[in-house]
Amino acid sequence: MSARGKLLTYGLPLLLMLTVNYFLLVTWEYQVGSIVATGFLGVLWIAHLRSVLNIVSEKRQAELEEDESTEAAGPTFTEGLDEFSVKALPIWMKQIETGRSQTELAINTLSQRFSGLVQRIAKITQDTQSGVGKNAKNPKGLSIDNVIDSSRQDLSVLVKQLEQAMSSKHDLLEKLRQLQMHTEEMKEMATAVGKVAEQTNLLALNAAIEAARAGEQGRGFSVVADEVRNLSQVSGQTGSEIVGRITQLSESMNAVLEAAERTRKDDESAQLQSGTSIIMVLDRFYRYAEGLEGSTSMLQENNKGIKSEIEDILVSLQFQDRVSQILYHVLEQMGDLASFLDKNLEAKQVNDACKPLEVSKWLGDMERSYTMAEERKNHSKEFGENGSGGGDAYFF
Amino acid sequence: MSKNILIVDDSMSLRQVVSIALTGAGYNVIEAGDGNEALTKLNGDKIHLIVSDVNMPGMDGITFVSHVKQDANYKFTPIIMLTTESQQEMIQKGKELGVKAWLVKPFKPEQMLDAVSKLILP
Repeated sequence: MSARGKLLTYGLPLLLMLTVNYFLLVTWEYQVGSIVATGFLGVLWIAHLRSVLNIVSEKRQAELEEDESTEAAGPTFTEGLDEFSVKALPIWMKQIETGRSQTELAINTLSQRFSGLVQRIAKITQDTQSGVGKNAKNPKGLSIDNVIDSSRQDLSVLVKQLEQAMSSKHDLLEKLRQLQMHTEEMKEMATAVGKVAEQTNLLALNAAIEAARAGEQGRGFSVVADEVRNLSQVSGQTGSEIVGRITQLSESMNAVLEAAERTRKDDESAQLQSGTSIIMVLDRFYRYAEGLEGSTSMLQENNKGIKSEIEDILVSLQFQDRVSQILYHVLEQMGDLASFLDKNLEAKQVNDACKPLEVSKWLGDMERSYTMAEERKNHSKEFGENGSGGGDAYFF
Repeated sequence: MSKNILIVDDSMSLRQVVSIALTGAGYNVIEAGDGNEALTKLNGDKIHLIVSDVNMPGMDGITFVSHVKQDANYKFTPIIMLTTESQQEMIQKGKELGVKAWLVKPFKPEQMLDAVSKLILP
């Protein structure tokens, strides 16, 4: 064989092999692609492929070991987040649902009580005019029509504000539901990545075995190698999808926090304005009732009724305080989670170790922050004692 | 002369509700939004009774009560805690601090008036 022939027969493949080897050392994905390319060079390459597969297998094994050791040394960015989200989100949803249903109940009770008040006062006027309570008069010159008209106006504003407060809580619930969906997807993808990595490892090992037998079945090997490449690509895609989901999760978390903040502000303004409206209405009714100097039993009965309606109103009005506390706690817990994630993200960006999210500690902290029986009940299904819906009194 | 009652709660609507119930029964009401503000209202004037929430931003009710109990002018002023907190450990803590009653929100006006009339000196 001429020198040129020798060069072409042994030198060129050797050069190609060296080039391939160079790229093999660069990236995992490229290595797999290179395996497929070199597979077509025939029997001459079998020995080389065996060594390549050994490298691949060893490298993959080393990667897995590295992953394991990394895991032991420092957790990943999202470690514990899936489990925490799956446990915490339903609790937050229950807390907000409690707030929403308490608001709704209070609105219904307040509407009924106010309409009861109006009817009672109208009855007094009717009786007075028909002579049943002819001794009744209002020396301050207040007309019941004026009292009712202005009260109706004040109350319609109040009901509108309360309805707005309710709808913003509904909005917050929706955002939380979306957030829960994202975390579910993330959990599924994390599982998928785990499976892909597992399968890739198995295939790489199979390929190594196949390579050992490659003298007889070189073709079988290239199929396996091809599969390894496909899996590697799938793994890469899933990885980038996860990054995308984390971004979406972070955006959703921000949206939820904004919605929660809006709800809190709405509640604050509703509280201020409704407080003023209700005080005006109650004052007006009180002044009207005081002005009636009636002495008939029917008037006295009606005045008792008015007093009782007003007392019920005072109980119902306290819903704002309770709902506001529930929302404040949810908001505080979400804020803590957001700042924890921010810190981990910063650590990841500068290649510092991320902190794991210690699920049971976080859930324990959440539970300790509650002040109301309902909140504790929403947190734990096993909860059975301290079931106070309010109204308990202790004297020492 | 009507008796002075200091109401300490961060919720304005709650203060108003307590206020309606108490002023209707002839008491004079002074309001404060948290423990810090409440301490500024304890400036030597006669306060016959204090109604305080537990969980408040700024100074919470438990810290506020500890301050009151160290003040020679007010350490014997009866205190009612009015709160959503219903945990026995917290109620026990209040008792140890020397509060006289613990009412869990939402309260009924008659319940409040009953507690006040039991604790306030005639």
